[in-house]
Amino acid sequence: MTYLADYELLEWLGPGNHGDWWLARPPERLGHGDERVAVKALWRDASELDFERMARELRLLSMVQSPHLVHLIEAGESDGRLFYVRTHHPDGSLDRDDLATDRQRAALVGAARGAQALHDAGIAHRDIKPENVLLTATGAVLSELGLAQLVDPGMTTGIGPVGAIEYVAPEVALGERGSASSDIWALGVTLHRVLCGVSIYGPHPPENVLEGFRRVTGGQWELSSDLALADRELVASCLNQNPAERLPSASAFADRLEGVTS
Amino acid sequence: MSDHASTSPVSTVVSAAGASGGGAVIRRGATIAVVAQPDHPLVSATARGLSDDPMTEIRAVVDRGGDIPAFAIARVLDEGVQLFVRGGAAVAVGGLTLRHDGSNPFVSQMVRVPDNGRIAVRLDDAGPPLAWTDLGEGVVLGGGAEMVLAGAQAGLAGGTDSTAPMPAPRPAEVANAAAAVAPAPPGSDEPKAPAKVISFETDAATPAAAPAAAGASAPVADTHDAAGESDAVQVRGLRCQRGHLVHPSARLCPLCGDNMQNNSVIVNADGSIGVLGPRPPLGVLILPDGRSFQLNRTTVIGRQPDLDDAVRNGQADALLFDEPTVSRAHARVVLDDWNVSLVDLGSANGTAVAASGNAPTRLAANQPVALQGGTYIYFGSIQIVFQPTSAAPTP
Repeated sequence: MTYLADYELLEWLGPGNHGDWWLARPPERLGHGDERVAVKALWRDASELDFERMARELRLLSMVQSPHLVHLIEAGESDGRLFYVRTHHPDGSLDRDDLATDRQRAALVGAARGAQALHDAGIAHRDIKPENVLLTATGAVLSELGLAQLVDPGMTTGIGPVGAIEYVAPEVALGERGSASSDIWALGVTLHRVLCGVSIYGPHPPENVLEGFRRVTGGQWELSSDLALADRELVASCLNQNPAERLPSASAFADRLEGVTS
Repeated sequence: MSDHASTSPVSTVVSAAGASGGGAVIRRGATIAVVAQPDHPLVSATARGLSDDPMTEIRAVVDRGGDIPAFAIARVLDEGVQLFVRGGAAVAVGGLTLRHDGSNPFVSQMVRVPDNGRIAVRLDDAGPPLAWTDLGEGVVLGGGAEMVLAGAQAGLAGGTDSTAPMPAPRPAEVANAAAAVAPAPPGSDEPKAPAKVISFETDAATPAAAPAAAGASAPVADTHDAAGESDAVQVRGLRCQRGHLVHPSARLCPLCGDNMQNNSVIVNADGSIGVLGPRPPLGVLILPDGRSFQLNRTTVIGRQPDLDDAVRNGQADALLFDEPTVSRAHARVVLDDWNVSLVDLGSANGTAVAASGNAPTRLAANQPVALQGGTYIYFGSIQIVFQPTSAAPTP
């Protein structure tokens, strides 16, 4: 058996930004009984990312109360390894291709409501994509809160895409900080990805960062012909090159999507 | 230029999978590879034996132009197995699979030597293995191969049938992962209390916490806009219809596409053109992971850029790469008026630039060169791209 601090690591769940997710049995001191939790072990060690800073910022994020944000349990450091712990979601994320459309829509409504709760607290998520939307029985929660800004401190001015360029708004590719508007861009791209199974950059997404940069900043996206009219209008309203002309809020996105559902 | 850095002996290459995938399978010492295009230079480079810096070598080969084929390379070293994958190919190490996510020309990763000693490379469109042949050394046509390391013979006994673990085509759970090989678990064999721990559960239950969250924007807010426009460098340019300051000879506003030829040109009494205003960001450096670094002013690039005087005095930005091949202060991107240039600061491993698809040119130390749009910049093992936004148009 392998332990990280006093968490027994049971199974590798997969890589995330900046660390690996492990399914774990929590220690008795938490009083969670035999319920499983998910532990992220960060790749960077404590000398580079100070524990106090991580704890402070995660705590602020954990104070944003919403049923649509993932529940953080604790953050810790053990033998120089930083980790944090959240509720485990056994159904995984929206990044799977075997979900019924109703469930995909309900999950995206949840993700958008979670994003709105963050925006109301003055926080941008900056990394909305299917992998970070965790499924629940009735919808979904938004995960990986604030990790983008947490793990990349001010060294780089333009904190742009952390992972796939697919979800990156043009102004972010140009070096602006992520914002509520860039989260709305990402919600639109996520909706397109889950409903159509392809990127807004088509079945042959950019193969290198320069081409990706040019396509993102040049607005060279194209909506899939599989997208029905109402969804098409909703996605398009998120993809305005000018952030000020996008859909005004994440809750507006959720409302429109629920309207489409019924 | 040898490829026998490993002392881990290879007992045998079980298969040259004479499969329908029309690629080339290569074995050289403790390296196996499959390349989708049999006449690609990467085949001969791998067959000759990769150098001690395979990352740079593979990059140089694929940068030579033309379409880059899918490939998968696995190389056993003392410290682990080094993997390189591009496009529709995969490497499996001990039952785990590494794939390419398309964000870079290829992905590379070091993983530990698998317990079962099995390492396989495969093209996605390869058919099922037709024959299991000990490849020995060299190149054959095929779609995949498997290598079994010495010391893992127990697992091999009776296991040489055609159902041996070639990487499964496109396992759903890793299809989108950049690096989907399970890592060695962190931590130890024994539970121990965390050295430091902070719980979020008790805090979240406190109702007073909610108003405090409104202030949460502060720690995550932009720490750079604070420097603001007040001390921004002033440059002379023309305003587009929407008020963006644009280089005097630009035809279009790079930010909104406004056609500058429709706007009037301001000629001042002293003969200069345009109005003074705060300089917009001149461009971005696109980093290996796809992030963008905005060029607002002169920037020092290095392993410890804050040791540079200009960075320490707050007169330059810093871009940090924590890589041993990068010098502490490696290069400087200089922003002067509307122009962007690059200077190597006498770095140990040098700095090179290349237009897309061209051979790289080394920079002489301390000699600035103007940066053109789309230029690839190499230092140490890092490759970044300069993309202008508002910089002076290049001829």
